[in-house]
Amino acid sequence: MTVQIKKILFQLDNVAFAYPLEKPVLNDINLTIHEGEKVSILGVNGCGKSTLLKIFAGLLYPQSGNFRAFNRSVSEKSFVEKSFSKDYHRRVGFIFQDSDVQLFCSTVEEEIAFGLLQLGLPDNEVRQRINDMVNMLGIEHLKGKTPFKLSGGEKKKVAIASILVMNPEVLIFDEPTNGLDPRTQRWLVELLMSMNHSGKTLISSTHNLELVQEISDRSILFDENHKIAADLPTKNLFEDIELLKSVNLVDEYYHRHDGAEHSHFHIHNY
Amino acid sequence: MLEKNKCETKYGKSANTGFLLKTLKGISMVIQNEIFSERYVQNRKFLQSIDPRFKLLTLLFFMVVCGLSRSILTLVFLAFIASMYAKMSGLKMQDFLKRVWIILPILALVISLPASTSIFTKGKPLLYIYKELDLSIWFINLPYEVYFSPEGITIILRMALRVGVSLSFGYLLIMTTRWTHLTKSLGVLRIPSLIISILNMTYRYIYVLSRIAFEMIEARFLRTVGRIDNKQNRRFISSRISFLFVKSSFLSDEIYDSMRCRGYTGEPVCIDSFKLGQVDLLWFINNTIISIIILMGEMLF
Repeated sequence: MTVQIKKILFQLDNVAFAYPLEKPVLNDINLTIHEGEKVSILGVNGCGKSTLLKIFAGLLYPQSGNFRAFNRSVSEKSFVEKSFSKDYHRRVGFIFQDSDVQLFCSTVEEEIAFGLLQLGLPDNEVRQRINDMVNMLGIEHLKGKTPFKLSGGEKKKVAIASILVMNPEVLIFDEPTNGLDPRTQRWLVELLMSMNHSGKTLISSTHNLELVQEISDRSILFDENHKIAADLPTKNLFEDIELLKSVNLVDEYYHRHDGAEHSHFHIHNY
Repeated sequence: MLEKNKCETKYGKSANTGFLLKTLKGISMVIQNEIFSERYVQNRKFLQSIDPRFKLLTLLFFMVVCGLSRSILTLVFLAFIASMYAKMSGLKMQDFLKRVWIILPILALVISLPASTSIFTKGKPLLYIYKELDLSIWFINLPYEVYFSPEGITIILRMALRVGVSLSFGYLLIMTTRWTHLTKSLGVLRIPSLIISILNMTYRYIYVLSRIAFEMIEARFLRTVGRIDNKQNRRFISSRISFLFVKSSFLSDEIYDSMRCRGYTGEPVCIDSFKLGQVDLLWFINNTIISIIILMGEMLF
């Protein structure tokens, strides 16, 4: 039997980060992300999840420790080189929690074209890719619309389209289902799964615990000291409720129901 | 304003949220409905069909001509041209005249009114404010007579017209050109890409911030029972302005990050490649004739 060793995409060694005049939000982080993985980052608000995602996306840089991506050491200096910056951002797509900050062009078509034009692709190829993308996501009818007039679900679809059109190898989602209705949430989960099957690496941060098992095989749990408390297969992590409680992610009412007919997680609020 | 009536019916009289709130709400509605939705850009009428680079250069040229012109007739002629272009481009004339001519030119006229009196501009008396008055207040001897002169009136009229005409061409440019095309066209004028980036960022902040401002007003309205005095309204507005200022700093990082995530390195891009066509030739001939008429007018009057 041959064991396929997957390529390492991201590697963090003793990484730490603090915003100016604030306490560190990431402390002694060591982890590796392989190609094609589905990873969820979990933890309470303010534990450093979004900061870690931004480091992966090349938007923030570790203040100490070493960050390697695509077999290369990455620092702030690396992004001074325009060709590296463009190539990195083409390979790593980041979908923000608030779609509004991601939608800044006059029309949906321009929004989807923005990244492609930054890559310097010719106009006819840009148009072709836009058409393919809107057909794939079923948003042809939104092409000529103004982004700010769309509904929350439509905005999220356009934000995803604007990233997917660049065909990134890694997709990073910050709270992917935040503010979406159940139908759009389901649509998004299915899209993420199909993206992963096509070979893309998925990294997401979410508080939606039901979603975590669906969209990830591996979960990285942060504690309140901004350190990694656990890095386990998602299934194993959710079996250890005491661990989830110890990092204040769930309370004493959180439990799981065993049995074929009732195997999901939920929280009683009474 | 697209949503004005709806807005007034929904929040106007019953809300009684005061002049400041209505103004802020009005501004954010205009920004959202007219500038960001680019409602006029989508009409494929006259100015919308002109190559943006060509249009930018021509309209800027008219603004410069308006600044240099000394003849009121020339300025009136330019105002007429701007109105014609607005009409041909499908702009609502009522909105155009209201936005361009009602506030700023009249304000300029009122502010500069003292400059038209005999204190600053001597000339033939047209209308006396007072005359034959020998009065001194403290150490200051007041003039024996103060009057408006035709020369003074001409000066302030010229100034107000310049403001109105420049605004007209600026309004036409903004309302009939996509923002992305406009910033790309600025490259023709050799504007540094850093300045264009700052303009782009500003444009994007205004959109997000105007929406937040509008939502804050709505949230306040929903929590308001009865009348609120003007002092409280002013306090609310000033506190919200400072909040928006802080919020803008956070948003600036987020929006810039989202642009960088898609490979933005400071270069303006847009999907349409510009091509000069027959309509641009027509535009050129038309404006050359207008320029000749203006030149002749300047020489004759």
